[in-house]
Amino acid sequence: MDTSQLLKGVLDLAVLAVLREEDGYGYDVVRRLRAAGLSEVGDASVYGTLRRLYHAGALTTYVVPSEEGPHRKYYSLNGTGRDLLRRSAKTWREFAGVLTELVDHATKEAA
Amino acid sequence: MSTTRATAHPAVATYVAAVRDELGDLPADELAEIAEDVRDHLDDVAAEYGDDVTIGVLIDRLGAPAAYAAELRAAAGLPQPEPEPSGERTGFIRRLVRFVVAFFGWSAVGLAALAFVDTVFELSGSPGTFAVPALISAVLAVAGALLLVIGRQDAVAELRRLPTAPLLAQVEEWVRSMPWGRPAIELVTSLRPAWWVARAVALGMITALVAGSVAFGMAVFLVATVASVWLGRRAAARQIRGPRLVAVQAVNAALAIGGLVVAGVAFEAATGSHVQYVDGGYDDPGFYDQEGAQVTNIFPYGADGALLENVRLYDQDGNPIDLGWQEDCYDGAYDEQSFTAANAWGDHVFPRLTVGVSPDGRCEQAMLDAPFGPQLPGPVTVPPGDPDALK
Repeated sequence: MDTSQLLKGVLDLAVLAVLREEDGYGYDVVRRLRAAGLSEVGDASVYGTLRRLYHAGALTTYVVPSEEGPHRKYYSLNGTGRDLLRRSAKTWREFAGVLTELVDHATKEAA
Repeated sequence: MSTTRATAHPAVATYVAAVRDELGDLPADELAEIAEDVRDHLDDVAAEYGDDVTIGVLIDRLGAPAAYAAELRAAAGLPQPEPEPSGERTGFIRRLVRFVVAFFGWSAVGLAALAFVDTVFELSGSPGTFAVPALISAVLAVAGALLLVIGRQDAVAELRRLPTAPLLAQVEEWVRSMPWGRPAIELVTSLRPAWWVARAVALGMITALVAGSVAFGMAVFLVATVASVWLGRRAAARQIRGPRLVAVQAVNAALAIGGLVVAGVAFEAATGSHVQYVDGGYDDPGFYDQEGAQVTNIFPYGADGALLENVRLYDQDGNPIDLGWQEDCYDGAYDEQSFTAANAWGDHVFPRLTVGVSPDGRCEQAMLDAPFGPQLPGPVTVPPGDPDALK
């Protein structure tokens, strides 16, 4: 099954979850998502998601200038973002629970 | 993280330029912001590969710029670009007009630059040499551009299809990848309000020159300043879009070029004198009148109005004054041409004799040909306070 299709629906949740731990800039968020096991996540998708969440008011940003490397625009969860994360997480758990049960049940019957 | 602004790899600039081009239908400010973020991100990605990063490496890692842009667009919820109109509407004429607009647009830029250099360094002596063709090119380019965007929902997208338009994005990316690029662009952006006033000044100057009235020009300038700042703030807030934005840009271009022309004319009027002492193509300088024609002879008349002959002319240092190198008459010259023969007393002795050319192209006998004859017409006038002048 193509995980990139699945990822599309839950990338918002994944990004919000990563930012709950610690503020991060685009490249950093991509790296943390991949380290967590979402190896197929696309750079452009993550940046686009961050941008959309920011414009939706769920994230705030601040720029950390750097002498050596590029400027870093850090994204951080605000109240709206935490609220969104809570609701999304609830939806996800219910959905995942239903689907797991369905899949396990179907597998048992098949077995 | 070893990359710095100063060593940002050209591959990053190329990739960002391509992404930027894909997203060119977005409003300029939004596009600049996205390009900035993408550039920062790519700097980090490029740093993983060190000096080995090439455009190929970036494409392997991130996908083609077009795919990257599409993915970004989808994830960020950005509007999809207006599709290229169907084939029959993108006919030969439209493509020809696009080419013409690009051609005259670049011509206008090049000629305006030449006109500027020419005016500042007074190379050709007449500011219209390049300014007039620049103006004509600009007008043609703007007219063509308006023709292209009429009836188009997305005027910016239409203009992006002009030949060489992507080149501009690449130039901007190159500038941004330089260490001085960002500060320079920020400086230019911060000068926006100055530009709002400058274009009102240009309109005022053009009006003053065309109408011949400084007061009217001032009045136009004051009204235009208010309108210009209002327009500028609306444009900066992205409240002006589509064909109206293009119309504003067209007026901008016209005012910028018109202002340069007027400034050139004013500069010329302020510094130009009636007779200029300029270097000719030969070692010997000559005198030229207001029209640029060489002064070839001098006819001195005395206080009593009688033509003086064999007058020797010297300057303040005692150097003889001649009128520069002059061509001698030669057989086969046109019969309207007229030459002078050097005075036997020397080149600084006037008047010289005039040598005409006969209808069959032969040099005629040299003769004194004073414009007013041997005596100035009209009564002899005595200068006030000098009753002895005639004695």
